Amino acid sequence: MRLRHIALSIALLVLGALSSIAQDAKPEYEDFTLAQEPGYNDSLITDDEKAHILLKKQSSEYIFKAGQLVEYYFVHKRLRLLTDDGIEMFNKVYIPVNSYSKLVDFEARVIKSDGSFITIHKDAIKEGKDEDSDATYHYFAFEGLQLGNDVEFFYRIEKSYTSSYQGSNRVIQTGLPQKNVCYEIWAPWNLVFKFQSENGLPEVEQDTAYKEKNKYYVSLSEIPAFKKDKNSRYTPHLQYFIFKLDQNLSSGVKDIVSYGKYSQAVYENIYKIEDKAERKYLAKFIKEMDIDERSDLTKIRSIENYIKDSLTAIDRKERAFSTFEFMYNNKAYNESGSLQLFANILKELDVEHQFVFTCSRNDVPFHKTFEANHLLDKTFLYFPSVKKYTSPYDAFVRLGYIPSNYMNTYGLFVKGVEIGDVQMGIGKIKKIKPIKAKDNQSNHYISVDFTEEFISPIYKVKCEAFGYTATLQILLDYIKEEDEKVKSVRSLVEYIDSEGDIKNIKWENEGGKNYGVAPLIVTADLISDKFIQNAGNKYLFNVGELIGPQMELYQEGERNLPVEQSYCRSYYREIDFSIPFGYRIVNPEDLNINVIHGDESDPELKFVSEYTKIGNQYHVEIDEYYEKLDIPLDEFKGYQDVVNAAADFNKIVLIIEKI
Amino acid sequence: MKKKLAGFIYLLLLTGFCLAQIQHVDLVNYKNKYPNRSRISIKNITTVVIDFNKKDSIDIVTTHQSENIYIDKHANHFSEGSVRDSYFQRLEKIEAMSLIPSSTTKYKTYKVSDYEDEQIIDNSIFFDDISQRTYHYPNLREGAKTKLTYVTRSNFPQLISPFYFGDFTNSEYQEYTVKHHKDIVLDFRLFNGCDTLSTYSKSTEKDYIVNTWVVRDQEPFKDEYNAPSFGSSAPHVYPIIQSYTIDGKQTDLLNGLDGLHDWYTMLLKRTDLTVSPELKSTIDSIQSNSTNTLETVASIFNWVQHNVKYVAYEDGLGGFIPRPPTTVFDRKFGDCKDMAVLQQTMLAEAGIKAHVAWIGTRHKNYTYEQLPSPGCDNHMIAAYKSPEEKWYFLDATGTYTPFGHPSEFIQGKEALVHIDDDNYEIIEVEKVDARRNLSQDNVTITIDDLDIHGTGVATFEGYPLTGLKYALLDADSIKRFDIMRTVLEKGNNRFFLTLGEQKLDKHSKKGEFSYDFEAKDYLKSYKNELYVNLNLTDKLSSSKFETDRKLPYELDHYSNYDYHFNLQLKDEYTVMGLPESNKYVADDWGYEITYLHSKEDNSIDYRLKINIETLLIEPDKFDDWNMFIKQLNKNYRQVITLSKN
Repeated sequence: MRLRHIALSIALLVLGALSSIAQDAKPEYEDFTLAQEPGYNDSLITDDEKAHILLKKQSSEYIFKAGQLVEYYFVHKRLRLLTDDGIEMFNKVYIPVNSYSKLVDFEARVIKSDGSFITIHKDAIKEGKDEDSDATYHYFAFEGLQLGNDVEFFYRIEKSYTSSYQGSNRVIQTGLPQKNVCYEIWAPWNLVFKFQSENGLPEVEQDTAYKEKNKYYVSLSEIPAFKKDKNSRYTPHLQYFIFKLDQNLSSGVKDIVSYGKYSQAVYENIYKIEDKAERKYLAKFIKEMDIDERSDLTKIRSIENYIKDSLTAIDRKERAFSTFEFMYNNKAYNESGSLQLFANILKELDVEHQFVFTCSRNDVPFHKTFEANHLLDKTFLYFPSVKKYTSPYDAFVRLGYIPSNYMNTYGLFVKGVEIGDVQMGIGKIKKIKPIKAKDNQSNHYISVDFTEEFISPIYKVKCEAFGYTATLQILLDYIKEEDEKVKSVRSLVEYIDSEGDIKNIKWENEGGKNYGVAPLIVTADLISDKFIQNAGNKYLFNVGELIGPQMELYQEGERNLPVEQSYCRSYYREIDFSIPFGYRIVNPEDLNINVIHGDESDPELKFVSEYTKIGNQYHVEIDEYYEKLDIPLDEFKGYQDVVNAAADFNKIVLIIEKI
Repeated sequence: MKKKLAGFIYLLLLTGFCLAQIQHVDLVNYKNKYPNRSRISIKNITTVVIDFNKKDSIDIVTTHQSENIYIDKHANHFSEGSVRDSYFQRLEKIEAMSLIPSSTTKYKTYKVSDYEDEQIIDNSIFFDDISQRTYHYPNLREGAKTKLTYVTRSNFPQLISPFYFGDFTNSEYQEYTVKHHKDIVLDFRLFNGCDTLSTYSKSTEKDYIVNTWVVRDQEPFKDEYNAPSFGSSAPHVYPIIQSYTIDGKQTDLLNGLDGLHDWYTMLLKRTDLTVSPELKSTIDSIQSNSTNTLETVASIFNWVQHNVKYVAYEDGLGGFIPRPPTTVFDRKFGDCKDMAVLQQTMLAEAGIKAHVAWIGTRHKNYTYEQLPSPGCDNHMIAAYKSPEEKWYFLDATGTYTPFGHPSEFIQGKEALVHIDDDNYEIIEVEKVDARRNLSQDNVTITIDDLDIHGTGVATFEGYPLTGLKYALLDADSIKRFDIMRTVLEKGNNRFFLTLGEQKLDKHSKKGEFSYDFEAKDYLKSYKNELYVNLNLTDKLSSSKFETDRKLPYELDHYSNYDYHFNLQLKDEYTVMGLPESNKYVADDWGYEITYLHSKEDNSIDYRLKINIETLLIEPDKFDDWNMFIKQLNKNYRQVITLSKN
């Protein structure tokens, strides 16, 4: 992204000053080859793992080469493959490369249990591009591989351009058991790196035996496999370290990677309009936007709706795709273009805003104190006057909502301040608070009249979706044919019953402009026999199934991780039904369920259902919500009870008998 | 002049006099005509010229021309383009351009200047020689058009491509022209209604014969869940180059099925079938553990299945010529034809005559008679005929396909079995009957207050078993438990499972799973009455077709479900009401639910059998299918009434 390049150029300036005084050094592992006799230790492995990692050594080395800082990456691995699935997973190796990084050397072989081995011929390596990720790979397949064999390989990559020293993660733990694990970072003597280990990984140490270079390393004889727990994140719990270049001893520059510098640089960059022509296109945009200037809120919504409804998001990172001219002429925007367009219009309209830089909390999350540029992966806007965030780029959310994995984490908030005549960007680390349960609603209103008929009655259904659960609202903008739209909205009713006939389907509030403003409302008639069972002269009414299938946590194994949900959410339902005169419901009190977790007056998690009755008319209200995202282990029981309360309601059957 | 003015006024009316929004007349017209589309295919013309080259063999030069217009704001979604370049179809020339409206009647042309060649990694093929030339149409926006022209050359007359009529949007004009020298003999096969849809013309130009098919105003192809693919249902023309004559001498190419087999045989012969000592010793050891021929066949099939991993290289003719069996044996990986030839070679070495066979998967909707060309197939297997004249199809690409079963995706298809260099047979692969695809559950149930307890054994055979092997055999114990919980779940999801003995390994012909369970609060009671729904499964309950579905529905295999639940009642319970037994019988599917109350031991025997015996449900059968599901669902809701003394 263009913003990154700015920060990068600052760091390069600092580095550039010292390149002339540093000697080009020879990279470690340049002469590495696999041992002539690999051996085979046949100590029995008896667990049910697919594979064991017997050795994993990695190194990232920074070296000045012809005045540029380049990175040499080295990896040497040996794995024992213990199941067919293990073979399928590891019988091919894919080595990522790109225009800046090239494969310098590799060796690979299969080691049999008698110690003999089959080496992969260097010609066997292929090159190709993965269309999904757009990444290029060198790749090969191991030959002669059978159960119980080891695969061993090393490769070295030279990266002629790297920004990893400005901040990177190295995740050490995996889903497989590992032995002999080591990660090294090497740098010229004058470049001092800083490290932060997480989740019990030992601190990265410096090996003081080296004087010409700095060697940092973390080394472990064993790391257990880390297993997933349901409804938890994975990567954030693994053992990993973050690192960055911190000081240059030759130039005396400290704090090379700092959010202070970053804030200033990106702030200037976002508002920098390169020439008159660009200014002209910005003005054209504003003219075409038809902005509702009544308040900040209306202004922001007008800008966002214009950009996202009239322009198309494209996944191209090149600068040429983010000029105002390109965006205006092509009616398209890329990630940095959308931010600059949004921000500059806000500035013109005098709407106060801040930039928020963060990274997904599902990966290595933002660190509250360790400043590293790679953690500033995504940019959002925050509006203090309306206390809402938005994502200029993501077409499937609108004001108030950013992709949920970027909330409930920390981020760098950059705001502009005036110092004299100069506008400056000042950064501060703050929490990006998640939005409330009331902002993400799935509601159902269902009524049925059994006085006419128990067989194939008509259930009048109204479904409401609001917030994250209403992505369909925006999607409907992309669907042009009416019957395709019907199919899409019908899915909301089908959630209650996929067996019945759905008729008279209608909906309102489609379109991105309604997202986060008004709920998508779908109404339909559902003609279904699913909810009534016959038992001799009685009817069994599966009223609980009217709320659709529910998640359950009845039979849970032991957990090691907290529950981590994507977003707070609420479900409100009303069910109305009437039964014929001369009939009665024998167990209506089954409808009353009350399970909460947290403070009684203001619970964090809740499932409460209650019924009232007037004559033969029954009215049931069900209020369920999850206001807390992360549930620590010692509160799991409370969470489980609320989830299971909904599953219990799902099983309620009312017995209707003739009096 | 008057006309022009009228046009202008018309335009102004359409655009609401808003000059800032001036739209090209094409855009206005197309939007009016197709209000629900983003893109319209204006033109799609493919012209194939088949002629002799200087080396007295055949060159096929194909020119593709297409033109599209984009009529909504999503134009940019179409800006990435690509064209394939392969060993068999060399890309010679390409020109792509955008046409951007510059006034109500004019376009400005922007030619694509950058093309990039990329080797693409395919998830199913480890390596192939197909690369892509990619490009980006500049300035695409509402009202823009794109034009693409590219030319390919091939000198593999056997591998000529078909032409498909159809697109995922409306196609206004499609034309397929094949111009060939009169001394080159062609046969054209038309599929999926192409003959009625298209207008055909034939003419002569000097020494050339020109065949043209034209289709105007074709509606979009629509995809639906589990529907046959575009390739197997779109109307298309498949040319076959049968022979050519030079100086009075005729050379056969794909002259009927014989010609196809001859060409395949020529390719097969290029494979070195030498058996290395290591391979020989593996064959000997397998054979020494077998007591009869069929067991040897099965053991060799299993050995290849479990020891050779599927890794496909499709490098030029390497996509057609099997690699030497010794190489495949050493590498322990290969593609379908490598595994087929390895099996055949191993069997031959063991003194057993087996064959390789070409076959099309179910995506290839042809018989060899309909299409005697390589386009008919895309897969290779081995085949063995027992002395009882029973054919066994050995597809070792599926790690857990049971011996004696073809893989799911070749059921009902024709295999072109290579008997020897001069002989072949066409054998239809069986559709494995429902009885052999068993999912069975036998459970004894008791009542404890409002809970039920059960002890059961679930049994799986055939394809359902194969599916479970893939899911279970490499899963860890937690995942295994979760999968079995889903497979065995009964009654409601307040279901507590305890797994007992699990009889399943990679060689099992039958998987047997013993288990106990408890479903809490499953029963409803009122006064002294107790209501039990013994339909503890709701198999197929959600499988009705929507009334607006238009395309056929494909099934993976025939199915046979057999659920047997025996409810043991204590003496204190009296059966007050028992649902009626019920069944539905149609040609290809049906079910039967029976309830039997045995007064002797006060037990209720419930049995549900469901049979499905088709691989494709055609739209005219949807009503019948929906009736079947509706009746099944109705009976799933029948409840037994007990009274407690």
